[in-house]
Amino acid sequence: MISAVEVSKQFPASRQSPVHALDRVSLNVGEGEFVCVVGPSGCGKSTLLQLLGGLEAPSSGRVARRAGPSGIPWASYVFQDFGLLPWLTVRANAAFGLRMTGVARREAERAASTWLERMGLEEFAGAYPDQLSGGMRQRLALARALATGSPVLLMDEPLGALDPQTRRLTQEHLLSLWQTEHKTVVMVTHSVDEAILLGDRVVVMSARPGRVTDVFTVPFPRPRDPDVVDTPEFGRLRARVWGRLRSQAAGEAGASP
Amino acid sequence: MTVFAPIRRITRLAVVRARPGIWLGIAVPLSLLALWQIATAAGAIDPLLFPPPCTIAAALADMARSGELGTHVTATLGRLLPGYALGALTGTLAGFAMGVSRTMNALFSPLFAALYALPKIATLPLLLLVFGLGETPKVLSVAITVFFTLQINTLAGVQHIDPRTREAARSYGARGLRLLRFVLLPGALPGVLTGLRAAAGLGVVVVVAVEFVASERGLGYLIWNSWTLFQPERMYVGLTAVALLGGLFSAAVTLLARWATPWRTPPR
Repeated sequence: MISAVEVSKQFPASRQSPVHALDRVSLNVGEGEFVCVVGPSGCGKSTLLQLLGGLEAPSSGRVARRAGPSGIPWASYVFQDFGLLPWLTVRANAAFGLRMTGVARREAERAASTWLERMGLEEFAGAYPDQLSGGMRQRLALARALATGSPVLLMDEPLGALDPQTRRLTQEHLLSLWQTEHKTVVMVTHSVDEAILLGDRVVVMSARPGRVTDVFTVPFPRPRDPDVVDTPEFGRLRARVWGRLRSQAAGEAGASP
Repeated sequence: MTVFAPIRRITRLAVVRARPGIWLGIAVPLSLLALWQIATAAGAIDPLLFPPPCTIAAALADMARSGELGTHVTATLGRLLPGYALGALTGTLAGFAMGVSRTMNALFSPLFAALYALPKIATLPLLLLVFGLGETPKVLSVAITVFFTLQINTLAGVQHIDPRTREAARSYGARGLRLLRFVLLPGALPGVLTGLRAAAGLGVVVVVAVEFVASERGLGYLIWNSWTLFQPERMYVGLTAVALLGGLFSAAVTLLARWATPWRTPPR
């Protein structure tokens, strides 16, 4: 579905040598695959998402995207800080992605209301994002992304701003949601557990300039039970991923808590 | 939904705003007025300089009945409202254009920054020189002050739109007119409304100041003229009317702001 070949990205920095965010990253994501990307902070994970989605152009290398259905945005985004529009109601926020593709208000809001229901937000349809809890805001951001019908979902630390309980519940929600929707997903996360629980593959990236150092295939079958995290097999995989990640993170251990 | 729904909403906004401590808030000025009345009756303060509230109220009623007060209020509103509207419209447009276009900002921000330091009321003699003694220079004085207030606040409003919100909207394909309608205009609105509120107060100040020196009608004229003729009651009538006018004007703009930005939770 997406194939990045040897992509590098540099950002010009004033009075210094340019910042190398990504260095020759290659990544293939199959249709309907859920890929999680973990790595030390500042390793260019977000930049990778932007390149995959076409929001930024790579400095070198290329990204190929298999075209999706016409008239539908190819990818939808979910951000750590939600990226909701504070002046739009919950209903209008959920419909925002569709409206940006030119769908009329009534039709867009009808399509979005299905997703508000599935996210348990229908009774807050007339409220504004500032009146919602963090978990509800992220469910709204998910509803907005899914309502567009995009075949690809690009998520940048989508659960990073949630408290541990809400985070766990949203992970389970996401797990069952993906199993019914079969989107192609690339998700950046800090949590190894989250990456293994949700992903088909876990990609480990190095500290800046970001490179792909390891790719782990997650062996647990679908549909996956959230309790899989308590199995010894899960623990062993976590230890292996964490081992690779630790050696990458060591360089910037002083910088991140 | 009926046609009354918006009206009900506005009334509710007004009531919510007024409820906390409203009686305490009224009690203080009422006690001060009562104290004033008693002090003049007891001879503690000079009623020639500080005529008791009852005398002022009687003068106000007299002037309202004769239509004299109405003439002054109409004259003041006839300068304040068109000047405010003109300045608000042009100032918002200028600030918005500077907010969305780097070129516009580069062209005009040094000029406006320099002019902003100039007290706008100081341009009145120039306006009188150019436009003569008619209504135009008075309306323009108000408009200039309101213009700068709105230009600065609208610009700040656009610049303070959360970049993460803009980035998210961009990733969903918001460009051109859609970006304007869904992100830039509503995002700048709080800044515009802050400007409108500040400009409401400043506009009243300017219109009264202009009427002090260059008019034969209006509340400013009434106050100034009462001083030259030594008629303190009439002066107090003018002051009361200006205070009420300014208060009502600001309250109307505040209500408008609440109505226009329902997503902002009012400060408690």
